[in-house]
Amino acid sequence: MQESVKTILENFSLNIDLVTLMPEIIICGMALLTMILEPFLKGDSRKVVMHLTWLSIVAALISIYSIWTSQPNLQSLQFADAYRIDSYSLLFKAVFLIGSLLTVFISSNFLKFKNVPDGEFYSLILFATFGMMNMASAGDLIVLFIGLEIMSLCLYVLAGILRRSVYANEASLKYFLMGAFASGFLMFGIAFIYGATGTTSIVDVIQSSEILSNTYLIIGAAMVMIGLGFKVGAVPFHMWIPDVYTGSITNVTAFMSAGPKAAAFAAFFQVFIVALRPLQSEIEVVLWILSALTMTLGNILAITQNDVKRMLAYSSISHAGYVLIALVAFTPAATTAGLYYLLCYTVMNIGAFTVLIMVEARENSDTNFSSFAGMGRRYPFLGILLTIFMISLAGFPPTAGFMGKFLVFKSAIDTGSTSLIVLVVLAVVNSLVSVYYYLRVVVVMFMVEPELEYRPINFATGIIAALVISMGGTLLLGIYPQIFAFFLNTALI
Amino acid sequence: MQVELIHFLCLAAILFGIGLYGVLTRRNAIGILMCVELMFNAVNINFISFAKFITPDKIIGQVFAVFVIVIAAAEATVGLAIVILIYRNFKDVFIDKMNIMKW
Amino acid sequence: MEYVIFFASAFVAIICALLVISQKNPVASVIYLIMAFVAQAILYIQLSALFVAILQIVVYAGAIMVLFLFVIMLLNLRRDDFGPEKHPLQSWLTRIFGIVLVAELMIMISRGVGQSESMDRAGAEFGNVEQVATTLFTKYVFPFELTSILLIVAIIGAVVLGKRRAEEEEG
Repeated sequence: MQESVKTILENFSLNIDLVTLMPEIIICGMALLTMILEPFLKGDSRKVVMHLTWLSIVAALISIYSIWTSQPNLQSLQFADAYRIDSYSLLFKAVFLIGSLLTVFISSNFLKFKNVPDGEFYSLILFATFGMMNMASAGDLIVLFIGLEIMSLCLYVLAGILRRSVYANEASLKYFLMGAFASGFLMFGIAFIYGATGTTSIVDVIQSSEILSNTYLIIGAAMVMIGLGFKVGAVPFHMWIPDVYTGSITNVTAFMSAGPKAAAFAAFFQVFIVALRPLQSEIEVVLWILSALTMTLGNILAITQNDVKRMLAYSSISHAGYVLIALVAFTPAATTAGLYYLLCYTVMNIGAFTVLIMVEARENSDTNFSSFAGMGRRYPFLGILLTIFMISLAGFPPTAGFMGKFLVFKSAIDTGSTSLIVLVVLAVVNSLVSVYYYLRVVVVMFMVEPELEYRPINFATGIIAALVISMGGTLLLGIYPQIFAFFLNTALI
Repeated sequence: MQVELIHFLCLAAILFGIGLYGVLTRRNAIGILMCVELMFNAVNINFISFAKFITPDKIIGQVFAVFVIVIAAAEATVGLAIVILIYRNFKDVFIDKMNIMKW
Repeated sequence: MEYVIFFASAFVAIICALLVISQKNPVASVIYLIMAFVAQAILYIQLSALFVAILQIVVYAGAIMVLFLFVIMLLNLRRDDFGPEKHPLQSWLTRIFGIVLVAELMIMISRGVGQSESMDRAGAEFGNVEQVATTLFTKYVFPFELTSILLIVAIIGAVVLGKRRAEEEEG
């Protein structure tokens, strides 16, 4: 036995390529470094942590770009097939990083306004981003699951980071209980997938010749779908979203609605399109129902809200429904379109949240519709920006929201199946309904007089940077969709 | 008589169901957390019995079970920290009293 | 003999699990949970997962449950604070939902087993620490390293949520 272990170790190779792992190394290393630095910094020098954070995210983005251009058709399996880096996962990582970058920009001033300790905040954001990156390029279900847990634990804490607020406490507890519950389901499902195929490697699951029983695979798929359904907030499992999004501090809400949602979809794509391909026909029906329910219910509930933050929470549910269409379509083009949509959603949604934060970061202000009254007249430029974000969220040209929806719908129609065309029609009707509640903000902003004297808005540097990036992204992704060609050869499998 | 795979899977399903029932009916945050631990354990029974019966040459299932224990520990830590935080502000750990925002 | 051990431990595990969810006293609930975990550890030994059985007792029944007990003592929860939901309709609905789910799972599981699998296919050294370690440090070395990050995040999270900060408490 001694000998055999020795031979196993000698014949074993991790096959690590540090260059392609650079984004992960930068993010994880900086997350640890900020934790070490934080206790030594006092007063104004604490800002160093924030600057290091955004610089490291930019560095990770640059390294992704250089990997992407130098190795166009990258397909590398590392750490004994546990980690898979390809162009698709690289682009997903770019989406997460953009979400985190914008979050860091909008956070610095807002945290000071809310009097939240900021050192741990940034390292938690970085750790969460690291977890998401692991989810996107997991080659094994266990890596996907641990990545998901790293991300989720950070988010439970971030949701409750405003410790003295009872709303934040409630959000944190609800998120945690729902998340742990969902993790239980996800793990149970993974156990059955393992039982059915004898492997937990995502790529091996489809190639497994000795599928012991299809029934186990179906139980596993159903359980995993429930678990991941909770994480993306698909409708029968959406009940935590409004409360958690409303209760959390607003910059964390912006973060949660962008990166983690995209990461949950990355896991969805990994499991259902790569691993469980043999079950396509069974999965399709369930996903169709999930998608239809999610976008419709999210939209209907969003109409009745009086709080912009809560309205955006419900709208994020309905957007998850649109992305699910890409999963129902099950084609390479659809996976690419889904990714493009997630990128667009990240940019425009954080943009909308940025304006929301500017409105909230005044004395005695909240996130109700009435807080927006008169803003359009006092700050016409900001009003126009918010209008563009809202138009984009509703899905009108020439904005990112339109282009994302268009590509997802087109990929669905291209499959030619009737059920998908019905789903797309439903989605279009839903988009039209959503115009009502998105433009309600715009109407209040320009048409309604504020009750009291208008309280001025504080323009901080970080916030302006976030506004510029998200606005640039929203317009660029909408007007210049040739970027999509950049995406095209990166379909998932 | 032989003990077969199905016996272990049924036991795991029952324990998972009990945990699920507990999560849905308990009013107390710590109680819910305990029920989640029960669910995680049911998962472990599944993994270990699959490892024994389905892949007798590889041991993946048992390694997975080790990871599940680690994850359960991490979740319990954060969960209990949240419970303590809640207790400080609410002086209570009932989730139904903790419904300022409607579900 | 094998059969007797299985059914005895399974019986204990299920009864203890039921007591966990029905007990009014939180401390008793934790004790029953520990008993359920020990019963499961016996099953793990039967499934020749010695290492996991040890972890189950040392880490799960030991460390994690002590943490639970500690928090319960710290918060000084009273006896009657801990019962299940009293609302009858919801309680019945959940009960029915739970039973249906378990029944469905069992039917699916029994349909899924094709040939009868026997335990004897595994070799004698299956599940000893050496084999677990070899797999853990070769094929699963990356997830193993990831768990270190997971634990760090859990620690940071617990500290962020749990500590008091003077300037914040005033606000």
